[in-house]
Amino acid sequence: MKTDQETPFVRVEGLKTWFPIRKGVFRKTVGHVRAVDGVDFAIKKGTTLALVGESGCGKTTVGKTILRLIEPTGGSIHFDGADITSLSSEALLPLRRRMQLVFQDPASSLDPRMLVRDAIGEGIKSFKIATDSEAVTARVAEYMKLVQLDPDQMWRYPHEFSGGQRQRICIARALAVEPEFIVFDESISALDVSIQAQILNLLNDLQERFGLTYLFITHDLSVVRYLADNVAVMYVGQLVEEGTTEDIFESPQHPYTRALLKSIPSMNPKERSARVEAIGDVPSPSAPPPGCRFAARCPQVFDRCHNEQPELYPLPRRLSRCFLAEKELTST
Amino acid sequence: MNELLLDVQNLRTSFPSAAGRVAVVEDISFQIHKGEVLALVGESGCGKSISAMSIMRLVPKPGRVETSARIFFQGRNLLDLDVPDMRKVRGGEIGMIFQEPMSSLNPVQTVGAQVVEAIQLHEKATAAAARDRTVALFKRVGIPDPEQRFDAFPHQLSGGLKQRVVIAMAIAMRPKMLIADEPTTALDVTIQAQIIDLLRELQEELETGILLITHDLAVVNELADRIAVMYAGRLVETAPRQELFENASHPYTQGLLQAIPGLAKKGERLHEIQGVVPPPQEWPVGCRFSSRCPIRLAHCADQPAPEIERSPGHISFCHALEKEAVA
Repeated sequence: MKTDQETPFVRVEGLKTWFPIRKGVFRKTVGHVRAVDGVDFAIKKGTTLALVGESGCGKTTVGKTILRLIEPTGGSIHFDGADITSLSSEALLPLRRRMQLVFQDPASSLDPRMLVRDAIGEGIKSFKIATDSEAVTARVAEYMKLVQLDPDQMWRYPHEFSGGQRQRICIARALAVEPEFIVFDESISALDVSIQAQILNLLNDLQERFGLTYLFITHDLSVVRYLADNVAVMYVGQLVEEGTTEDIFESPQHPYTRALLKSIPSMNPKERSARVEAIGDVPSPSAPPPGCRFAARCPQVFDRCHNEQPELYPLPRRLSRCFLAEKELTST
Repeated sequence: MNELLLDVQNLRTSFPSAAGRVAVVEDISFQIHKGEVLALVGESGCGKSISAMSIMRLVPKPGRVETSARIFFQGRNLLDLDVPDMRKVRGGEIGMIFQEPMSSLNPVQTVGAQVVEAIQLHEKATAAAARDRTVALFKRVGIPDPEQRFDAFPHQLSGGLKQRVVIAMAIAMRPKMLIADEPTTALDVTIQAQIIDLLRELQEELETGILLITHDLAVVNELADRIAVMYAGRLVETAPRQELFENASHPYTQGLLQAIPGLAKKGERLHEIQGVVPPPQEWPVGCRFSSRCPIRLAHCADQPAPEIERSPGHISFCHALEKEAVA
C-alpha cells in the first residue's frame, strides 16, 4: 500500500459523459444530453470527497463513469497513478476488485433470492480471494462482524433484515473484496436518522482502519460536513465550486453554493431560516445556455454571465466557476 | 387559544397478523387548533402515516380503526360519518398532500383537468369558472405561466412544480385543515425550501391547521408550532417546538436529536441509538422503547409508561421521569 499522501489516488480530468438523443426510424442522433460536461477533481488516498448537487446534475453519472460502468465521452480517469480511461474490460478486471460501489436503495441492489452469505460471498469467489466453500463462509462471517451484523444470520434472505441492516450487508459486500476506493451513491439517504448515524460512524471507522478512499455522492448537505474532507459542488454537468469542507461551508463563494447552503432547513430552535428567494428551474443538460449555467437563477447575475462561460478560477483556498471569483482574483 | 379543529382521542389502529390483531397505532391522542401546525415525528414504521390515514378513514383493509377511538373534527366524530359525508370531508374540509407527487397525480390527464375535477367534485362550478379558479390557484402556489401549465401533463413538470400542483389541489376548497405527509421528502433541498415557504404562507393566509408528518427534524423546526414524537405506534413525547428542541426529556427524543449530524465535523462521533425498532409483534408490553433505552429501569418493559407533565403543554411518557418527579 502506498503511503504517499500527496499524489492523488483518484483523479479525473475534463471528464465528459454525453448520452445521445436518438430520433426517427434510423435512430439518428439529433443531440446529446451532456450529463457530465468537463469535470476535474482529485481525491487523495484515505480521504473523502463529497460530490453534491441537485437531482439531475450528473453526480451519479460521474460516479459510474469513474468506475467505468458507463463509457466516458472525453477526458481521462486516473486510478492509483494509472490511466484507466480506455482500458479493455479484461484489463479492468483486476482493478474492479480495488474499486467498489454502494447504492442508495439496499432493497433493490440485493438479489431477493440470494442468501446473504452468497451475496457477500459472490465477489470473494469471483475474484478468487477464497475458493473453497468453507473459506468463503469464514470470510463472509468476518466481514459481517466488521459491519456489526450477526454472522449467524448469513443463511437468511435480504427481506428478513431491516433497511439499515441491508445497507450494512451492501457495505460488507463491497468491503469483502478488499477495495481501496469506494463510491457511495446516496447510500444513506433512504435511512432513518438514528440508523444514518450508525452507518456514518461505521463508514468513518472503516476509513480510518483500512485507509479507504471515498467518493460520497449526495444531495444531503447535512451529512457532508460530518463525513467529507473536501466538497465538490456540481451544477448541470459541471463543477461550480470545489474546496475543503470547512472553506465551502464557512465561506462559500459561488452563488449556487450559497443558495444551496441557505436552503438547508435550520436546526436551531431559536431561529428559523429566512424566506428563500424564488428561483427558476434548472436548465436542461441537452441544451445548456451559452453563458454561465447558473445565470438564469443567479441573484448576482450581470450581462457577461449570459454570453460567456466562466472557468474554474483558482482562488486562494478553493476553485470557483464564477466571474465574481475572477474579479476577486485579478483585484488581489 | 384558537378554535379547536381536530381532537383525536385514543386512536388505535390494528392489522391482523399470525399472532392475532396487532395495534400498529395505539392510544394516540392529540389536538390541532385553527392556524396551528402540529408535527407528528418518528422513524419509518412508527405509525405516523397510519395515524394520518386513520383520521381520513383511508386505512387499507384488513387494517381497521378500533371503535373505541374518537376523531372529532369541528365537533363531529369522523368515525360516525357515512361514506358520502366522509367523501365531502376529504379534499373538502381537510386537504391532503402526500410525499410522492408523481403517484398522487394521474399521469394521463393534464394537471389542470385534475384540479378542475377536484373542484367540481365538491361544488357545482361551470367548466370555465373551475378553470379560472384553477389558474388562480396555480398562480397562488407559484407555478410560472399558469395558463400554459394548465394543459401540461405531470411528466412535463419538474418535481417541485408537481408538488405545487398537488398543493393547489389540496387548498382548492379552502380547507380548514391540511394533512401533509412528508411533503418535501422527495424534493431537492432548494425546492424543499421553496415548498416550506409556500406552506408557511398558506397557513398564515388561510389560517389552516396543518398536521405535518415527517421524519426530518429540520423541516419540523422550520414549520411546526408543536411536535408530537412517536415511537413504535405510541406517542413518547409532545411539546411546543422550541421546548422540545431545547428540553427534550424522553430518552428516545434525546437520542433522535443527538443523532443528527448538524454541525458535527469530521472525526467527531455521532450519537447512536443502539439496536433497531423491533417488529410490531415483538413490541414490549410496557414502554415500547425499553428494549433500546439507555436509562431503562427494572419495570419499564412490563408496565406502560406513565404520562408526566414536564411543563405546561410538555408531556413525556417515561418511567424514569416519574421517579425524578417524585424525588
